[in-house]
Amino acid sequence: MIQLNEVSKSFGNPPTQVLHGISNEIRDGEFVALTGRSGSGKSTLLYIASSLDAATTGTVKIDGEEISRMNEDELHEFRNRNMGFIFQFHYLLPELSALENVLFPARKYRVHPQKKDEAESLLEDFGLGGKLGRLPGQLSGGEQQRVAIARALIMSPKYIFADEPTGNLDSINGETVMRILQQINSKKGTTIVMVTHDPDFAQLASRRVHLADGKVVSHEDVL
Amino acid sequence: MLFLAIRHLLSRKRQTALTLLGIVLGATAYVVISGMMLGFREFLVDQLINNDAHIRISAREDRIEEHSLDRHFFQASEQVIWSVAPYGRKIDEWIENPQGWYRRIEEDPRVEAYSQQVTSQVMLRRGNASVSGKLVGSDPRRQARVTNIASYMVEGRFSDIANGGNRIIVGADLLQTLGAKVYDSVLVSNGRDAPVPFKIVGVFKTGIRPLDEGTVYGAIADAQRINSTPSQVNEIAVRLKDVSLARQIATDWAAISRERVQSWDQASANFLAVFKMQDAIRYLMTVSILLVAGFGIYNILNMVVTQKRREIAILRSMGYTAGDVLFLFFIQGMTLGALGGVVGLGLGYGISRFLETLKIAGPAMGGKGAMMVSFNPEIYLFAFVLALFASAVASVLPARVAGRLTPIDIIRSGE
Repeated sequence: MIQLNEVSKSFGNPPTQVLHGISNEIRDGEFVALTGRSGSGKSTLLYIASSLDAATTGTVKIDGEEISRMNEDELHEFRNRNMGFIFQFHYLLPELSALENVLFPARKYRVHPQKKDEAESLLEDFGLGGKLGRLPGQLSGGEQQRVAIARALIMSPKYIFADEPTGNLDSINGETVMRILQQINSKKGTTIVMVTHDPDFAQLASRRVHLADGKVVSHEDVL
Repeated sequence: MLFLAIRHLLSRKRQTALTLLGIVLGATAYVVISGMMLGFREFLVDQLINNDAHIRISAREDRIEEHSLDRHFFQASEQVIWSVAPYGRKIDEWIENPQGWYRRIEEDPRVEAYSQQVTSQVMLRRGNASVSGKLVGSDPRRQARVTNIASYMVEGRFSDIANGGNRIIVGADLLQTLGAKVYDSVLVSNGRDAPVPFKIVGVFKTGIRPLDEGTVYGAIADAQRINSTPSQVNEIAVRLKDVSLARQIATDWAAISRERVQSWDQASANFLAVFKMQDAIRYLMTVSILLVAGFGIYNILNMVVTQKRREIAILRSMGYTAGDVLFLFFIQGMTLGALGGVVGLGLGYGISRFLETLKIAGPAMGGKGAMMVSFNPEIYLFAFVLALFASAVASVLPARVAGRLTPIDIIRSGE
């Protein structure tokens, strides 16, 4: 479970407040869509909740542990083993094949040999079975994003954080990505926190949190 | 991370090759330049060390001061005031107590061998040709253990002078000046007494002109006879087991004796000072080349770090630490340095081997007339360490910049 308690964030000098005292809970197995206009603070909230960014004030607890109290090594290991990230851009390493990209998080703790079958099976499931050895540059945009999702899943994380994962895709590929995320959530019970502009895709989440001007203005349980 | 670092390098082959070329050239230049300089130096030092004694003990020269002669004429208790104080130079032509020296040398475990010598200036004459030279009278068996002279024989054997009987071995150039051949007789004179006929029984050629045109070897008994000084010696040449101790031992012996004791490097101090200048030039040149190569690495890594910001962000979000990212770029520089170093050493070695075959000069460059190139492992080790050092310095800055990048900064900057 992720617990946000009075989280505020400000940038720059003089400080501009982006988030204002947000408190929220993301329960295990939830699929939460963070929605709102550009500049509403939804991406900032996602990165604070995922430990990539630090709150100016307030606390973030993941599985009962306060992130700001973890040391660097603990945090990195926690991130590696429990979190997967999907960004608007795939951020694949262009020098590595699709399979190598998927296995790269597993290399950190040298478990990639054990994860190889799982990586192949993930890519197979995502319709990339025949393209394991291809470099990112040899894949379409939709395929690249599916490889990125497979990479986010390889360590069987408890949490997936997705920042506009369909933002760079056409509608067909966007729908494919959303279907995959739904399946991960429903079949594996992975908690997903997703930022999206697209109201149709937000509808696919189990809960929508709408932000405006750095504040949560509505919660909506879809299911 | 090494896996990704190597992929990075392979993915930009041209840049990698160009950077590598800089390091290769730097390492090659160091190996070749040092090889040539040290080769010639080693040759010269080798000549100094092996063609001459490591330590030479010779009769002492003294200045005569006001009270130098007091004890020869008066008792120690007497107060001496000279109306005209004695002055001048007192030259001991002979070593005062050679037996004492032999004992001291034989008892010293650091000594490999020694050879007592009688050296004197002589005139050699054959027909109308006359040449002045230095006659070195020695026991050839001992002399051969102290210097390498026996290995420079081009005709006859050095041991042929062993039994005396007015036989000499001369330098090749001196033989030519005399217009003589082996087994010819020449007249040898000390300038005071009547010339004595000697038979030339051998010829040596060291490649050092002053030696080849001005040195004559004979038996010690013959040299003593020429000088009318039976059983006297004026030099003792000593060879040590470890030549690096020469200066220390010479200084120690000089402190406890009347004779002049000089190590090979003390005798050639001016000559050896030139080497320091050579070293300075060599290091300066190599540092300049490696500086350029280092800049190559620095520029390219800097560029790569800028290009790879998005990938750094994703690596960090996967749980890779700042140290991992630093290592990713640092190891690329070090890989280039190590690879460039190894290739540079190989290339340098090849070029050095080639240079070694070039006939570039006469005897001044050694007896073989070919360029002298050193293959001292220290040169290669130092070149490799230099290449690594330049790469380390050049990579650490961009790598640290990369290590300091946080994922959120990169993501926020919208790259």
